[in-house]
Amino acid sequence: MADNLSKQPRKGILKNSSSFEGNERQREKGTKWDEMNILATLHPKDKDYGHMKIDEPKTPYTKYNEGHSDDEQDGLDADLLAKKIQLGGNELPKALVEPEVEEELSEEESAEEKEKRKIFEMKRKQHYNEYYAVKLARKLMEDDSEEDDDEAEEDESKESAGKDADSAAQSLLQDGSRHQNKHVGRSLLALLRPLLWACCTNMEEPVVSDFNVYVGTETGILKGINLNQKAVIHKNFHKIQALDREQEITSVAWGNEEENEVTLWQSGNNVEINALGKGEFLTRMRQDPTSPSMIATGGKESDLHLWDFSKPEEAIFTAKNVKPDMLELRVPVWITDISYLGDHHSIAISSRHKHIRLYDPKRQRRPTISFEWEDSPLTCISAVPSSNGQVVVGTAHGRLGLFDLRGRKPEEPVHVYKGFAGAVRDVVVHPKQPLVFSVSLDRFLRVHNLASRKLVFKEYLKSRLNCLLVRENLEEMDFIKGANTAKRKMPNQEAKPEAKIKVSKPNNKVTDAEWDSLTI
Amino acid sequence: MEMDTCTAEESQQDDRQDTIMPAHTNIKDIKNKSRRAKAFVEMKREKRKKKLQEAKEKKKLAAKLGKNAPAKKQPHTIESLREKDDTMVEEEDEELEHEEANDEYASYFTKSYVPKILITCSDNPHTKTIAFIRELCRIIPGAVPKWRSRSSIKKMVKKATDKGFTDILVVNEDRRIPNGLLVIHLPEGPSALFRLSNPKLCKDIHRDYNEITGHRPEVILNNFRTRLGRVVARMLGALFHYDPEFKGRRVCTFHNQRDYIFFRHHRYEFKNTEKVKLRELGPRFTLRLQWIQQGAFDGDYEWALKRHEMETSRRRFFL
Repeated sequence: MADNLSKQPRKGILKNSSSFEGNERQREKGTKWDEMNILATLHPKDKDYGHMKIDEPKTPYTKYNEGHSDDEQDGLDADLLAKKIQLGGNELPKALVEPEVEEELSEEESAEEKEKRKIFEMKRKQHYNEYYAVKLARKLMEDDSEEDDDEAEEDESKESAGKDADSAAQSLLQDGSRHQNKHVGRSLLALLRPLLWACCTNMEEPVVSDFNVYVGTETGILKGINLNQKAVIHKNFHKIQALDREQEITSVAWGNEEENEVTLWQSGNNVEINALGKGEFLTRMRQDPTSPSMIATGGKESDLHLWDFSKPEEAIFTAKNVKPDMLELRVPVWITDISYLGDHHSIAISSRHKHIRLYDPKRQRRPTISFEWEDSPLTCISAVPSSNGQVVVGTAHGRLGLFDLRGRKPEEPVHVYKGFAGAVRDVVVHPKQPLVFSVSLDRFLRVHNLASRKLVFKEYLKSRLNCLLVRENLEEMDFIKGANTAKRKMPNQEAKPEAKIKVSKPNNKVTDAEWDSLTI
Repeated sequence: MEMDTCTAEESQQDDRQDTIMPAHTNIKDIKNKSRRAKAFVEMKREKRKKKLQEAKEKKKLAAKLGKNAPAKKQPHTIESLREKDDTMVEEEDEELEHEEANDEYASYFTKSYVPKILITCSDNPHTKTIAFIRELCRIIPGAVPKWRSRSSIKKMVKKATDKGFTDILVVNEDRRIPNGLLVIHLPEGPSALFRLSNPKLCKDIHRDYNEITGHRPEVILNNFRTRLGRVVARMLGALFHYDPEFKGRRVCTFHNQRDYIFFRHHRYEFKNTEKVKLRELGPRFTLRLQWIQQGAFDGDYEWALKRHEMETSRRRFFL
């Protein structure tokens, strides 16, 4: 029995095992390496593998060398640093120190250069204070009814860039009585380069008071719509042949408080806004309804800025962008519309990157609320005047939503208004009635009821619509729409005297090229 | 039948009988199949006789009255019962003319350029799509086919504008057959997405593609009556060269019916002023508009189909 234990099988019954000891033996048996050959043939020196030669060091960080002392490594001497701090302890940091006037330069200049510089500074001052200058010029103009040649030319040369504007301007300057100064005082126009003069001389002059909704189109036609009477009429205010694509109406505003005058902004030539900053172009400028000298601007890559007329050089408030998103990428900014909320100290914006943001300028520079809605860009926003934080936002795909930004869940729309086929271009919520007026690219003007979301009124206006204005004294009524609505007689609006229309030319977009061409 | 008449007579004659056998007014109440079939045939014959008689009488009346005959009644169709649309275009509308004189296609209609089309497809196309693109290149003069090579549409738009193209057609594919067509007008023009259905190549219609000559075809745009329809019609028409070669007698038709645009390609020959002989060549497909955007694949939507909101009535159409 014990013999059997020591016996070995004749032929190996053990299979090739994968244990370490066994393997080495097998490798030694099976493969033989020819070291000399390998050295000769593997990575020969004259062979070009086609690899790119990299000059850079492999790591930006130099290796830690234990030999050197810490001080020299960092380049800082602790003692020296301490001394410097002691010496300069009381001074303000550089950034807060206001730069002193450099008088050295002026000493080196010759008299001529001094003169030039003075003239230049004067022009700059004039340019910055152009609002006042123009106001003054207007007053002077009115004083002497024929145009004072110098001033008229000066005004015109500053303002008009188009030839037709010149001729029209001349003709309108001559009838000085048509223009009223209070228009300048209140409207957004004040900061803009006053290209105030009509672009087409053969414009009809219907009475403004007949209409209570005004709509501007892409082709330059201003339409007035009267929703009161039994028959809804809409009328074009221009003779169509005189217009062309250049005269797309991009924004409409009331010219004065009685809502007598309508000011049109048409895309065309230069706009002077005192400081654009680094953005690409501006898309929106809005005046604060409570304080007429404050305006807000925003555009592509140009975040929200608040300006005051009395300090035109610098923005009073510049918004800060939100933190980078979860991929650590900067969140892009493209403001399409700005709206002042009903509680008078917040501003809401809508962006083409689907953001809705709420800013509180007195508290912080970052938005207090920022969220995204829908997959398509947001084109317009309007505050509900009667409420404390509600806004209506329209998208490029044809949805209109009511949001409560002060509510518990601002990201979810309270109501969504339906029925649009194209992008919503402009929204206005009536200040007193619960009505939402909207104008869209599918050539329809729609009126929805704010709370019940029902479509109250719809009207086909043949051109693509861009912007909208609604009269404040529009009464609640059932607009004519189908057999179910009752027709009520509406009290007639009193005809307002001196109803005139002013047409103006500045636009809201400034491209970089144009900006560079403007003189400082 | 005899039994029935007997019972009917009996019931009429015998007043005292309380039970009256029901008369077979409905054919379906006859339980016997062969008798039922016969009764049905009889009924049909009667009906047809009646109809012919009525038609005869009407004809006589019309012949008698001559011009004062009452007008022929048109049968109701869905098109005739179409919901009234505010956006229907009237002829000679000043605003319309003004807008069209100033939009992106105005330069096409002033013949200031020759359209140059870039046709491409999605990545990895299959046989049918490739064949479809080849056919499209045959029918549209000045069309250049290119592989997609994983390029994004916005980049494609830029590159194509640089190279002088005026339109891009992207044929989308699903389940190995083409099912979508994206039309982009290049220098920042409008773009439209169509859903393509029922594509039939030349060989499916048993025609030889060699019958298609190189003459520039005429374009017919039928039945685009609303404002939106007009925009679409201009877009499709601007793909072809403005001056057709009438010598070639080739015509491409885009016929709109109930929001579906049918494309047909024929060669015509006028036998006399009234009779035309048509021979259909070339591919055949139908399009349905999904959306129109104002920019070249970005920008606001001028119209977008939203089925829940818009397809509420069977008699409501948008083109």
